[in-house]
Order: sequence, then C-alpha cells, then structure tokens
Amino acid sequence: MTLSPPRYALAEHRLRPRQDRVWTIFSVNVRLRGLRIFPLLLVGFGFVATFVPLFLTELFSTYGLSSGPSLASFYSAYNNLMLFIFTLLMSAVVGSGIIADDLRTKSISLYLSRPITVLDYLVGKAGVVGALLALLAILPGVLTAVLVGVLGYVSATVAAEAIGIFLGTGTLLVLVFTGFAVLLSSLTDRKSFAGAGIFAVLLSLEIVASVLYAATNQVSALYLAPWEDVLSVARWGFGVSTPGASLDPSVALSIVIALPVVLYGATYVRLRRLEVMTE
Amino acid sequence: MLIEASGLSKNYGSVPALGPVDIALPEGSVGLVGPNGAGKTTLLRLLLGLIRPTSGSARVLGLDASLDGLEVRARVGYMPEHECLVPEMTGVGFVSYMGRLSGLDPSTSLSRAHDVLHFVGFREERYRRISEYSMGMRQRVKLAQAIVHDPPLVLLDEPTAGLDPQGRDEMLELLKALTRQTGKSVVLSSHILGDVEGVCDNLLVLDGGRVIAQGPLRKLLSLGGNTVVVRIRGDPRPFLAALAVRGLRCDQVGDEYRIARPPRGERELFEIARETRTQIRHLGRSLQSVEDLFLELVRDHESHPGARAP
Repeated sequence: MTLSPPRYALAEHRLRPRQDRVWTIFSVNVRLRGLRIFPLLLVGFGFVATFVPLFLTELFSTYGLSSGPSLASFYSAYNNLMLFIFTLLMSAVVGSGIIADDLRTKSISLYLSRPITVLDYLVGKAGVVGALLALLAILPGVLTAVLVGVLGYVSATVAAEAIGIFLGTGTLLVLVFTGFAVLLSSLTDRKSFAGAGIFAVLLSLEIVASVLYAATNQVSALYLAPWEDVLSVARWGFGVSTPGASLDPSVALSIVIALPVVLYGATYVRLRRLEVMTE
Repeated sequence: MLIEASGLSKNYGSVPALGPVDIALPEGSVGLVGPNGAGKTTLLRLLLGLIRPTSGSARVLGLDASLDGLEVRARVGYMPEHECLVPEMTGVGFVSYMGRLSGLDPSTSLSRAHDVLHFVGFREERYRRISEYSMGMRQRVKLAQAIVHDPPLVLLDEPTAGLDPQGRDEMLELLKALTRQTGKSVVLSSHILGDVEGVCDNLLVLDGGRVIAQGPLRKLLSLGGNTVVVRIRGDPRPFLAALAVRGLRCDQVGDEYRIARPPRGERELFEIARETRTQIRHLGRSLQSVEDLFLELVRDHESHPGARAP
C-alpha cells in the first residue's frame, strides 16, 4: 500500500449553510431512490393515469360534450381512483426505505455525526418522498391548468385559481402521505415491513372508514380516512357540491393540517430516541 | 487542550454509562482504552454533541460540545465502530457526499474525496459500489469519510474491528501516517491495546464509566510495574548469584537484566552490586506493555474503586 496522505490542509473555508446540506441529502437521495426502475415506472404510469383523464375531461368540456370548462371540472383530478392508487404505491415503494435503510446500514449515525440536526435529516429525507409524490399529486393538475389556460379553454383567472388549489390540496396530500411514510419507515430497519405497513395503514384507514360509513350511515366516519379528508378539501376548493351529506371541509382541513404535524413530530421524537438506542 | 471535560456524566434512565469524569487531553494522538461497557462510545458521542450529558460539560477544540454541537461536528471527523456505509453508492460518491454534508462545496468535496481515498489505498476501485468491497476496504472508506473535510481532530471508534491481521496492520499504518504526517489529532478508541501502543502518545483508560488513568503513554507505562531494568559492566555472574540467593527473579533480555523489584527498592540492588563488586551501568524502571498497565490499573480499580492513577 502506498501511504501518501494529503499533506495540504484545506484553506480556511466558509461552511456551506445548513440548507445546502439539507439540499444535498435531498438531491443525492432522489438520485439514489428515485432513479430506479420501479419508482420510474410508477412516476410514468401514474403521471399518465392522472394527467390524461384530467386533460381529456377539460378538452371534452371545451368542445361541448359537457357543460363547458369551469373551476369545478378540475375536481375530476381527485375523482380519479388512479391518483389514490399511485400515490399509495409511491409512498410504499419509495417511502419504505427512506429511513429504514439508514437504520439497517446504520448510516444514520454517520449522518448525525456531521454538522446537521435531526430535523435537517428528516426534512431532506421526507423531501425525497414528497417530491416524487408531487409528480403524481400536484404536477398533472398544475400542468393541465396551465395548458388549458394557455390554449384559452378557460379564462386566465380560472386557470390561476385551479393552479392555486392544486398546489394547496396537492401539498396537503403529499404532506400526509409522506408523514405516514417517514414515520413507519423510522419504526423498523426492514424496508419490506415498512412498505407493508405504509400500504396497510393508508389502505386500511380508507377501507375502515368506508365500511363504518356504510354500516352506520354516519358521514363523520369518513374523517378517519386521510384521503377522504383531502377529497373534501378539494371539493370545497373547486366549488363542487355533492348530493347528500358530506364532510365538513373546515374539519377535514384541520385534520389534514394537524395530521402531518403529529406524524412528523412522532418521527422526530423517534429519531431523537434512536441516538440513545444506537449506543 | 484538545479535549477538556469537567464532571461529565451520562446516565440512561437509572443506568450510569459514564462518569462523572474529569478529562484533560492535549493535542496529538490519544488512546482511549477500556473493556466493553467502559463508556468509550458514550464519551465519543458526548464529545460529538450527539447526546446531552446528564451533568458536567465537555469542551472540544475550545467549543462546548453540548451547546455548539454543530460547530464541533464541523471540525471533528468520526469513524464509528459499526458498519455505517451506504452500499448502493460508489466509494468516491459516498465520501464526497459525506464531505458535502460537512459543509464543503461539491467540487472541493469531490476532489478531497479522491485525495483521501488515494491516501487510504484506493485506486480504480473507488468507482465501484461499496456493496462489492471487502471488510478491509469498507474500514478504509470509513476512515476516508472521517477525514474528507480536513478536520483537525478525528475520533476513531475501534478502527481495526473485524479486520484480519494484514488488514489490521494496514489500518494501523494509515493511522500512524495520519497522526505523524498530517499533524492531525486523533482519539483512538480500542479494546485492542496493541493498536493503541503503536499509534498513540497519550492514554485515557476507562473502566466502569470512570477514568482510572490518563496522561502521556510513556509516563504511564513507566509508573507502574514491578520490574527494574539493569545493565552491568563486567562479569554479571556474582551479581546474578546474589539475586538468586535473595529469591529475586531475573530475566536476561539482550544485554539487559529485568529484575523483580526488591522489597527495599532499587537501593537494595545497589547494595548487592557493592557486595559483589559489580558495576551497574544503567538502572531504571521497566516500561510495561499497555496490556500489562491496563490489567494492573483495572485490578487496582477493582480493589480500590475510589482510587485513581495519575
């Protein structure tokens, strides 16, 4: 072996700010986890399955097959079961290993030995799941609104409103699903367990809420399902009215705002405790 | 001082893991030794500001470890004992990533990653995935990531753990080069005492969460021990015969005689020399091995828990 240590010392350098290091965690992990065959397939198929129906709906509305495009017609983006399925799959596939892999390889101890905080680490990691989910939950809606606005199918005001609502409700959806993903991923060092957990929890909340609603006819049972809460907020945002009883959008909005706070808070506490457990 | 701690302690619930301890370690290479569960890893994590002390405080490079944890971690490199690499990344990609997490800009981090990987003996294999590396290569990548940001202090937790004899020798050569050629300060935590003996100038001995000895290694090695080294001019046989009569054990090593310290100390040896008309050219305390010292200190600590070596 040749021993030739770097004999120079680095010039006194100003450390890059912490947000730069968070960006590093995000960008490196997007490449590491996003640029793989299964996530890429999910992004591709998911984007097509959400963008195409929405864009076609707007197109048909424009050419008289319906009552003409309006803000409410954009709600069809959320009235698409594919959106739920693909965001659920993406959360389970990408979110499962986002922290669990670091626990398995114990690389989390190296992250935390650098000049970053647990919060920096959590933001960088959650950002990876969030960004990939946003490609399904936000981008198709925003892109459709931009396109139909540019093509003159709807007024600029309606297009701008639709973009704002897609950004708002899409962000809430991303925050909630990402919150479940990072929490469940931090609870185990087995990616497969985390993936199954994310899938099972999000799906079972939806199923349990639906079954309870069907059994009791109490609409409040649907508050249990985060997806139904997001739909309620989206309906309110796009001005869509539903026949019969529906969820109170202000309560649903409170739930989808509070839920990420609880989920990320629990993940933060879990990661802080991990420092002790890795002793 | 490189590291100072005052009344530093850490409990996990009701279980004490460390201290309270007072520590003063100068710049240079420091061996941190102790049996499993002595508190070595807890001390390293306290010094990095990763965990908060139950009481007391520690200063690393003049910074408070618990209040300025981020600043400390920007100036300190850490090589954990356990596996901690990201197997999907290449060696150079991983080390560069760690450099960026330490605050280096991407281009500096990448060029430093190449330099330090070259230092630890990597050539083209630095472009291979870490999952393809042997245990020895992984240990060297762990060392490389600890020094990529050119820290003045490097904390190494059991750097030779899991290595075969050749890998261990190579790692120790690297550590010697690191301390002697780059002038970095190193804290080397190990339960393999031979590792510490070959690399370190100073020693900190922990047992049961307590400091049982600290100071320059050579001074500590010469303190304890019940062996005296003697060199003699002329015929040694009368002197050796007199030693045998008095029941003093004597071993010859080269031109030196290692003699069990007599009950009345070195003065008794001079009396024997005078009686046998033997000329003593040199008389001094024998340097023990770190292992002997450690065992002696632990024995003393167990029999007198309150006492502390210098």
